Amino acid sequence: MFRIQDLCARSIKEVLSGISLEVKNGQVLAILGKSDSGKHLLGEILAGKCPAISGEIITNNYRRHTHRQKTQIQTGYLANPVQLEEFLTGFELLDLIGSLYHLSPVARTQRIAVLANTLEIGQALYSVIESTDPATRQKIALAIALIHSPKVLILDEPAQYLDFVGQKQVERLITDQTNEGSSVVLITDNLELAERLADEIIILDQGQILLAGTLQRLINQTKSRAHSLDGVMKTIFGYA
Amino acid sequence: MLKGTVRFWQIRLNQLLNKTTGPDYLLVLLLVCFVYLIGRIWSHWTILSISTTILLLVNIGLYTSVFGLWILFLWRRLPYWAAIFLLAISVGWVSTYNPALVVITNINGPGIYSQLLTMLIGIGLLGTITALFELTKDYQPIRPRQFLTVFSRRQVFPSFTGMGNLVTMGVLRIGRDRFFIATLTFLIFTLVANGMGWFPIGNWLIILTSGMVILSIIISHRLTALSSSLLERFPGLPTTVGAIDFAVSIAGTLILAVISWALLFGLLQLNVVDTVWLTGIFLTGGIDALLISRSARLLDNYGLLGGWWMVILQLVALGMIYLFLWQLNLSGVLLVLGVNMALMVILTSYQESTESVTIKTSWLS
Repeated sequence: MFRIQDLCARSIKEVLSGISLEVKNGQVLAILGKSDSGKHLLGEILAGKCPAISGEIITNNYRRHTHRQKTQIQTGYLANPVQLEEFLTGFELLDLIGSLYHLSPVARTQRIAVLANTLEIGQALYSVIESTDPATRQKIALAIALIHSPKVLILDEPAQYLDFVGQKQVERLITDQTNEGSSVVLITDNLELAERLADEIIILDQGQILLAGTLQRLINQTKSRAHSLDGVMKTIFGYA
Repeated sequence: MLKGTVRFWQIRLNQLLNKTTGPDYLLVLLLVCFVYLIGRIWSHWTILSISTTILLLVNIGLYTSVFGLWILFLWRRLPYWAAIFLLAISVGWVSTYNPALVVITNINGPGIYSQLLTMLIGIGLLGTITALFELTKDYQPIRPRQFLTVFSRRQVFPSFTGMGNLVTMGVLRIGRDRFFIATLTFLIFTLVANGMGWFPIGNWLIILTSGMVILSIIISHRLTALSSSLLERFPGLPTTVGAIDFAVSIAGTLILAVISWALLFGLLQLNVVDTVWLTGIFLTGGIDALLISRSARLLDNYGLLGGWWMVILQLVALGMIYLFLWQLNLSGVLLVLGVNMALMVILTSYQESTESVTIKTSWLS
């Protein structure tokens, strides 16, 4: 379970004012919005990358500012844009991150094998990251976020650079995580992906929650004719 | 046609001078300035010797650039072979014409002055080769590079815990750096090339220590980048900045100690006592670099007086370095090793503060 209360934060581009939300175990919450709506800043704050001005972040009953280590170890984060250690291979980086999460060598081997197979990284796993293509980098970054089987997963644009096969692999991974009881926060502009995966959806605008609820509830609230997330967004933001 | 040519050279210029290569050039430039200043203080610097040095540097640069560029164009599919060939040409040239000997003849006999000039030439040549390495970037095909993945790990090492793994990755990260490999190869080849001549041991030591200066700067530069970026990139990691700093400092010191031992003991047949003192210098240098990185962070977070005890520890470490230096009774080495340490200290702290500022700026963006 993952909960935030009255979160306020600011960066040069984005602002968040009074955000409260909750993601239950095994649920996917999609956060949508325009470019500077605050969704990327929200991801960074939830991952512990940026400090918040005020507010409470609670991960499985641990408050962030009193139990930082315990909340961090339960969180996995995929940043956007992806930044990796260019001079290491994907395997080495996964092994390093796994060891820093105190995974045993056996557990590390098994986990890396499972993730590499699911994401079909193949031999590129043993190439220096600098020489790999964007899709492979994205898959390695995703595997890093999942290496320690986190209870809370924050994914900022997980399917970017991936083809339709890669997108399906990501979907399967997210579904596997939720089946194991993890809470997933999905920050994306990919409306089809959000529609397929999300149990709840939050639409942000200028740092505030504009709409929140299930897809059906959003359709009802906006009275969208299209009966899809795309229709909801068109109704709200008025694009053609 | 003209527009295309201009664009071509614009791209080449951008490749030569960008955010990644900029610091490396800055390091070389700083080193040259240091050496020049020392030369000014140490000896009478005449117009004749300055012009000879500049001409030699320009000639070496032109020689390698003109031929090297054509080879790179011809062999665009195998740039590392071209680089090795280029290196071989340079070493052959150095060993045949012995530019250091030319300089020595010009300034009437060997000594600390001529040794410093030799170092200048070495740096000039190194800069040219590195620039050409940078030029090859565009031609490298998108596929796993065998050159870089020779030492790739394919199995989890059972005994490695988090920090042990971090040290290993630190070592791998430096070992795969093109600039590092180029510097190390150049250092070894220059030593071998000079070995064919009749240089005094002091001259060898000057070249060696100048190479060590560059190597230590590269190591501290790259490890600081790893240390600073890891938590920034993976904020969920249950580790601390201090732990990462410690692990990567150990990695850097290990590399320096191994290279120093191999070169000094193997090639120069130094006695055990001198080797022990030199190892002491490098170890203390590593500790000093760690202290500097820690105090730079404390300074950034808690103000000027926040890291005062770190500053005292740094002074102690520096004092130890100089005590060890005085134990080495070798002509010219004291000075250059002193410069080595000073450069390492200044550039590490500079790099560290830059990284810190970058992190803070990225938080705001």
